[in-house]
Amino acid sequence: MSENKTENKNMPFLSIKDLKVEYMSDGQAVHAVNGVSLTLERGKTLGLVGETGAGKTTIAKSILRILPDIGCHIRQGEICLDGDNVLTLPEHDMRKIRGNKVSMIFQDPMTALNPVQRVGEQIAEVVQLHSDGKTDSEARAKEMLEIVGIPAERYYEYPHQFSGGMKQRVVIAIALACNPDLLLADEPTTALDVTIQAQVMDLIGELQKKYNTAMLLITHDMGVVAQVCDDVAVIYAGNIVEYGTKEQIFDHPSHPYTVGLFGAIPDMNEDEIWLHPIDGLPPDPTDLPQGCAFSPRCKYAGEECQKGPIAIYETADGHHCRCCRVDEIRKQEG
Amino acid sequence: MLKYIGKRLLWMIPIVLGVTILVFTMMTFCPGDPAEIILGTTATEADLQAKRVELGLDQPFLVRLATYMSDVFIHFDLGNSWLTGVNIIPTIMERMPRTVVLTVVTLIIAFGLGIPLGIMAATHQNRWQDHISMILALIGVAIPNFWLALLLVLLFSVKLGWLPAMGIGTGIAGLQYYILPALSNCAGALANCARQTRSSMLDVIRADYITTARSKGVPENVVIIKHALKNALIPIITMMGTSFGRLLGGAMIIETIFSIPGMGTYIIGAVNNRDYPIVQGGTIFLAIVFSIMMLLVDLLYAAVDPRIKAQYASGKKGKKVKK
Repeated sequence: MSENKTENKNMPFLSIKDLKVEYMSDGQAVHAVNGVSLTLERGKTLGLVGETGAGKTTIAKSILRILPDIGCHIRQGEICLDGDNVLTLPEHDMRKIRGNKVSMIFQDPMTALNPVQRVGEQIAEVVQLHSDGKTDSEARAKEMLEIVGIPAERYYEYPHQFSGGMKQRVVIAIALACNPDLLLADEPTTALDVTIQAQVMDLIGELQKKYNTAMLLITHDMGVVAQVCDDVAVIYAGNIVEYGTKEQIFDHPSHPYTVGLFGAIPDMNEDEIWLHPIDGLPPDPTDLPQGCAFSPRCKYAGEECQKGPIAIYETADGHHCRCCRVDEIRKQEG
Repeated sequence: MLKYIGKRLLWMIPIVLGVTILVFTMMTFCPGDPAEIILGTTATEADLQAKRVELGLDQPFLVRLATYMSDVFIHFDLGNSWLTGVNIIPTIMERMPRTVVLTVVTLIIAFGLGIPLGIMAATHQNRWQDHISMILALIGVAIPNFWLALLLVLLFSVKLGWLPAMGIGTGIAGLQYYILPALSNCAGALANCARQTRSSMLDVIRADYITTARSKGVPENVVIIKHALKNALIPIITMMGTSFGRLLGGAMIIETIFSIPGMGTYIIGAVNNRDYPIVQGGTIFLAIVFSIMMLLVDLLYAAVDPRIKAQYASGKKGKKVKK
């Protein structure tokens, strides 16, 4: 036991190694996640940034093992939480982790709540499942409602009596009810308008500080990333193309895709007539290109980019980039 | 909510009126002379004419309809059987419970087995459990109930001697008489229920809130029953209502086979004898039972889905605002 504990101390809180996930669709394998590795410490926030379909949500669901059971396989890799590989845990132990140690905030508040169950009961359910039997789950659920800014009397109402923003607060209340160590926030603000967005992010941030919760924030909103993240991983076609601290990514984007992403954000101080999108479309995940997945859209792509898998290089301390021409490009760009 | 129920009960009045007019008209234009059937082929023309006058058949259609309607809805009198002269209402009161018990037992068996079968198929989609369930459902739909009835009688009554082959009993022990009829009558409803449950569970089981429930650490069987099934119930309840109607109507075949003196045998006998009052009275009673069942189905919706309950309640509110 003591050996294990010392080992656990050296291990990061969450570490994902070489995760590969595939979906089967019409007999074709959809390569959703292709060898993602990342780490996350307690109390820190890692932003997962990428286009729709890049595999961000699949990574989060893999951690909780709640991927659809039909036609979806975790091909390889390991996900270690506090030193335990959750992919090999029996289902019974996994259930104790879900909602308790690791919980998830879902993307669409309109569909994430059970329409025929009272909102309070939906919060109380998770408390009851993970309590020692002494906790008053109803009282805790009411407390959680108050924490997210909903009057406790609304415990007995149903989701259809709530607005979208309030439903998202309920989803957050469910996720935070058991003070999780790791929060998987899957675009928690995408479905909300901008003013509510700020409130929700502040709320999550406050609770995160209070309980020293680690957070994996999935988003495609660079503004939100700048506001809350410590580290950022940029995902493209199921793989991390760039990884570093928020400052490194924002100040020195290295991968052509990241550069393109920042280039696509219009500059407020300049009179711009045209937006600058990245040309082309994300690759078909059933038929990924050889070598660098971004090469067909990359203006710097050369012959070597299409040969075999591209390794990830460390360009600065802790700043990683999956591009074999990163040095040349930096020189070119000056 | 009470107001909604009251409104629905009031709605039953025009429904029953409509059914009465329709059945009365249909029986009038039905070929066959009641007087001839009652008196037999040897009766003289004068006897027949006297019988027709006695039954009121010499009157014009509209006059007879008006008389009947006033008898039924003002005096609550369905009249006497033309053949036996016995008052109809006590007979119906005696026979109706048997048909209703048969139908309810059939529904309980059909849905008690059909829903679990459908859930098993949905949770094991495209695996062997799914295929077996759906093959069973296919067989259930295809089997004629009279054929199944004969086979069941052969096995359980003749070979094994476990259950009575015909007739009715009294009290709780009398329920055993309903087992074979209900079993042979339930195959179709069971199969439809399994298929309906499967498809509506499949719709629900991929919903986001099911993933939410799993992410909370809810055990899988609780996810299926508490979170998924409750959301999938609406189409299943709808089917329960239509199955009830179909079983009520289809009871006559099963009642005939098992010699159960219920509404089915009563009405079918009356149709053959052109005993108009029984046909009309029996149909009115079945219409009332069916309407009440439909009301229960709608109330079940509200019990299952708070959104529908809110709709029923808001119908009330909406009118107040208009005023």
